[in-house]
Amino acid sequence: MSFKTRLIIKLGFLYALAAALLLLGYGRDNNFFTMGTTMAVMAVVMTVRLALLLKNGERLAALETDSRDERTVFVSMKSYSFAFWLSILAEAAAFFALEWRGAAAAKPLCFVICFQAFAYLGSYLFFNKKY
Amino acid sequence: MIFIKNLIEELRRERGLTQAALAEMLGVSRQTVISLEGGRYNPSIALAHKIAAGFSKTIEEVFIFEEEN
Repeated sequence: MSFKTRLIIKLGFLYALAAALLLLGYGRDNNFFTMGTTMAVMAVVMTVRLALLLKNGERLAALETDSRDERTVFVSMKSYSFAFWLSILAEAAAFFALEWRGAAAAKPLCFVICFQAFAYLGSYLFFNKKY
Repeated sequence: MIFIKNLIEELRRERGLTQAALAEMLGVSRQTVISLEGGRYNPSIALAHKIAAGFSKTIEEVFIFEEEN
């Protein structure tokens, strides 16, 4: 599958997700509509960006090189890892704050944190065996 | 602890190549070339081999391994 095709498919998914959220939230008192609108705006901006890229073959080729570049992948993985741990710390802080106030949201947040911890452990065992 | 220095910038300038030209030759981004030359990023063996081959050198001639005693 070419790089151009992958970009178009990703954009298609974004439009589909935006449409689904807009439909779910339309006429109801929830945040789905807001999220859907935000995603729709993002999709439009990305469409314009993609259209400009498709006109400029050199820029598209440079973007493709960038996406496969080993240093870019390395930086991306480091960022995922760092962001993951920052998120866990933020969630733990939120859990303690909510639990202190006796808020009901503390319980599902606790489950999410436990899930993430097990997901990390499972991933570590899998990749440790694989490599 | 092992430190890796490289002669990529020197070799590139000797051949009159720009960073962009070297990046295109290696199939990497210009940012990667900048990071390599600045010693902020150590390449994989595959990329190191590509770099060395691009300059018609061996890996040991391009990358210098120094051990801290």
